[in-house]
Amino acid sequence: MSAAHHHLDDETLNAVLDGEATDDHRVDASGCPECAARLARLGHVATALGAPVSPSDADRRRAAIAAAVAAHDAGVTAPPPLHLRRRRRVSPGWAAAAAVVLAGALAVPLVDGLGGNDEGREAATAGDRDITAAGGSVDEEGALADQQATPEASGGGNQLGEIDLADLDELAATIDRDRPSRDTPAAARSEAVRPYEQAADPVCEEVARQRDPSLQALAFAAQGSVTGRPAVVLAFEVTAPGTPSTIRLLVLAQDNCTELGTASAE
Amino acid sequence: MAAVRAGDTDALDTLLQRHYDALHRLCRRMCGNDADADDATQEALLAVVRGLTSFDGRAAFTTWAHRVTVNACLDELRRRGRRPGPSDQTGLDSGPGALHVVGDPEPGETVALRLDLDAALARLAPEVRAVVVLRDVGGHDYAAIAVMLGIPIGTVRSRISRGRSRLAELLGNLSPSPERPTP
Repeated sequence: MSAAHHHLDDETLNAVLDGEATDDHRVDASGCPECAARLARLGHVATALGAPVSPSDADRRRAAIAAAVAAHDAGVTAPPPLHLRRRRRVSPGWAAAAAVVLAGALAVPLVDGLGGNDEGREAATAGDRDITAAGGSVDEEGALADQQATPEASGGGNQLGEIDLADLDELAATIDRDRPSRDTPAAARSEAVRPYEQAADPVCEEVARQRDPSLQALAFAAQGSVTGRPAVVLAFEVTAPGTPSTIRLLVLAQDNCTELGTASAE
Repeated sequence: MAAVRAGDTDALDTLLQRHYDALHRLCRRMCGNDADADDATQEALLAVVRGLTSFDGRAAFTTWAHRVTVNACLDELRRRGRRPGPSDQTGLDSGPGALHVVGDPEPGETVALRLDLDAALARLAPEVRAVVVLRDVGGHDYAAIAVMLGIPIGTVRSRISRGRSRLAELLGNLSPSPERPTP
């Protein structure tokens, strides 16, 4: 009667599989059918684990990289804020339509308010042209007269045209004054701000939030340009303890979310 | 890397673009579902960026980034106090009612196999999962994994064995012969 054959244990077989075993063990494994069969099964596990996975969502990928780059630029060392996690997505079509409506509500009085100097007036003119294209018209109190503006009439949505950085303070003050938080019933305010739960450019919005965790609800979002460079205008509500919320306005380069200008409503 | 460490934003962007998919793959296997993997990858990228100043260049960037990523995943799993989510409900069991894939398994062959893999991985302790993932997804050798996780190479060896053997047991289709002959 021959001596019983001792099969290699799983630890040794895994080492063989991974090229981490001795030559003797490799020879033993190849000469033992039972060991070879077990080795093949373990190999199937390893192969299955190494198989490709479904690719990451492209927007999420872009946002993650942009946020990391922004964190690097800002020297941020704090943990990422929770809003970088799964955020409710807003249907682009619905958001665009809603943005058009609020563009009339906010941007037109904003443009009207930009008359402090010649530069501001130029910015107002550019903005006025675009807002007119959005199809909204405003009465003397700045109330939205035509809330039936459609995306088709918008010429691309919430556009401010050329933005003059010298007028950002006034821009922020105008948005602060006209936002629906003042004297607006809670339900109506909720409906009004909903379009801005996520900006038309969610990447720059998230980058901005990464840089400044105090930023809260997005009160206004638009696109425009600064000396011809495509830019994103984002206005966030911010609240300091014991004080009413106010507006912080950011103008960010659309290509890499670099901050081009900022202002706060006083 | 020199450009990145010198503060070149474009170089950093390029570096992260190049490594994102590999880091996401690690996170996907560690976390067990796409949503958690996206979150963990985000955390990992930020951890990589935050750690760039401490990266001394002695290890390859890939090795270092994989270590940071797996640690970020472990932190994420600890924070959430649970093992991977959705796959917990698949009812995977090694008993008669186990989910099995019929036929020879091939990489990425079927959704059922992937679901089984996620569910099976969820049954592994995170520290065992990390070692197996670094080996089979990251492609690192035992010595590198030992350094990355700060554990003895013997521990790496035993965890890989424990992890793969358990997976083979759970994925019954991959081990159709449950009994091995007794010597």
